[in-house]
Amino acid sequence: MESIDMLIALSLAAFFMLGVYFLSYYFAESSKQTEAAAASKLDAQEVLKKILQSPGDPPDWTDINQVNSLGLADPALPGMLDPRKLLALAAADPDLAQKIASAACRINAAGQDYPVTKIGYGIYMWGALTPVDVNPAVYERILRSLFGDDWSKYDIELRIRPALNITVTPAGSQVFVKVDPPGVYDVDVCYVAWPGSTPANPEPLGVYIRGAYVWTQGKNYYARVDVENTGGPAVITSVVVGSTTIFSGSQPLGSYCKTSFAWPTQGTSKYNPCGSATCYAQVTFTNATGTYTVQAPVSRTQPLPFETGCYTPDVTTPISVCVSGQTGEDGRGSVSVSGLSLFAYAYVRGVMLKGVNYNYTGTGTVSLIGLVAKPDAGVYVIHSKLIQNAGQGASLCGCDDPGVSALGLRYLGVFLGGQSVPLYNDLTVNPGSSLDLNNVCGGGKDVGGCLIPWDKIGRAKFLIAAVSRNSQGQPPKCGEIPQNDVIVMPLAGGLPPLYEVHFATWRRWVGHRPEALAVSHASAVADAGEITYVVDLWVFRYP
Amino acid sequence: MELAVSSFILVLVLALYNYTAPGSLAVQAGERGRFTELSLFAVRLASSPEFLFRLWQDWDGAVQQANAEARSIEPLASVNVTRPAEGACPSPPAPRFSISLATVLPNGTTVCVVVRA
Repeated sequence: MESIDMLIALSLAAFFMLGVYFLSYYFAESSKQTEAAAASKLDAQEVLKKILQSPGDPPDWTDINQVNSLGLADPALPGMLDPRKLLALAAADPDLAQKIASAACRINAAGQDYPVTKIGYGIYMWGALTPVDVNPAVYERILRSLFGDDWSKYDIELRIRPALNITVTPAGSQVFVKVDPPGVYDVDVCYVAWPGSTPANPEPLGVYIRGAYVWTQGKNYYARVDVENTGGPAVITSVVVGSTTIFSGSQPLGSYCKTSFAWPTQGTSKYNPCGSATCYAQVTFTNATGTYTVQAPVSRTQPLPFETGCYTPDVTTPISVCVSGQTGEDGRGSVSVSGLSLFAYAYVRGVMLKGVNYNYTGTGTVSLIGLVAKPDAGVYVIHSKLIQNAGQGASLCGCDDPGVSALGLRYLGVFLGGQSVPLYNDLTVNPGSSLDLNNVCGGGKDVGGCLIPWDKIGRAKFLIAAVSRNSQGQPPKCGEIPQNDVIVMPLAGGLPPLYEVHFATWRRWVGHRPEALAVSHASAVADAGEITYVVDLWVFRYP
Repeated sequence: MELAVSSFILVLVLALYNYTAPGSLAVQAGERGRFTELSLFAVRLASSPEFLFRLWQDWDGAVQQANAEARSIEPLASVNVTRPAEGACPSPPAPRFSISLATVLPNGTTVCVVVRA
């Protein structure tokens, strides 16, 4: 009996010792894993801070394969990200290949081909934005600079996207802006439009409602109707929004004059003049031939200011106007345009986030001319016939038509944005002439293209080139190339579509997000140019 | 009996260990990371001229807009602005964090920007 008790006691002692052994092993492993997971959470913050606040090595890198240490800060502007580095990082994304396959173009000058990349309607960047094959040694260098000798136990993934989602929609005589997340934003809207009664916008002369709006601020309702008269002198006798007459009387409106009717004229109103789903504004006027009423649908967005007064019509050049104001609480804003809007650019500022976007309307794929930005020189104005598909012979870039005919251009005006200062008038670009990259615009020569130096452009928000085609040439067979064309190159704020970055060092060994012992995440907001970006970083830690 | 008690104690120790030490480490580290993010966020807001100018012109509208933008970045964050109490910025209670920074409006008024999560 005693031997049985002894056996049980020894068994218990042995079991306890074994238990302690295995448990201590388990505790050690478990603690090690947990410490690793915890450490990597701190790593994400530290790594993100380092990437955002240092320019990297070399400090002015623009090719990911040059990088020894990853940093996105602009060495010349502390606290800001460098847009060139974002672009270089975007080019390292394998998914970019499909996006830019049709964007690879070339120009030929003095018998030599130069690559350019199409980034929008009629706008190009110098050089080839071909996807970069990242040398595996680069991943090692980047990881080693962040994690030291333990680099092989880590990977990082970086995603960079604009913080504000801005939608710009030119729609006839209005431009709509929508910002997400909703809120009250300060907004500058610059637009380019053909005025009425011009060859590009053969609108009959007369009185037009350029915009009609009903919006709320708090619990109060407001309405405004913007009117323009491109015909003979008229007298406005009534303005009705929905079922509410917001003006009744006699207000003269001369030829080529604009005015606004706002409601309520004093104080505030809690009455909604547009109670029904469909709502129209009506303007009744009298002119030399009789009494007429025009109507337009009402937009339920807060409008930006509408410049009133009279002007001298110009049928040869588009108008470019910048308007400043605020969006409504829903993040929406609108602008009344005196004519047919072609292009609109919005610069949006919240209390700590900002962003830009732009949009064209109703354009085809091939412009009459191309504006090619070269960082160390300026902007080239080149006939589209001379900007060709890379590797496909004599064809327009973005249009595979080897039989395309030459088109002569007889007018080119280039304007600064904002104040619309003309840089050149009566500039002729002829595709029959050879291209000389040293030729500066304004020399009066018969050229295929010319250069506008950066010092001539200054700090313009964008360049506008208004072009009229010589109709003697046979139009190209692919797509519709307009008789009149406007090309706008934004010069501030970068190029949003290209600046969404996805860079991951795990691509060195897998094609998708790997399984890891610990994954930690950190995020921050940072500015590059006129855009605020949200930067998300994940750190993967392996056993 | 002794065997059963010993086994129970071992299981209890194991459960307690898993419940406390490893989780605690991870949570502490994660919270430190989130605190750093919110701190940067608060600094950006307190030094934003757009925010300070709008605060001066339209206090409630500026705070409302700051909250809209903050939540688009960090869904749990909220922003408030208060006056200093007895010459110092108070630290109001918050579920996890409360960061209070003093800043100055264009008219010279000192205010406290409070970011909570």
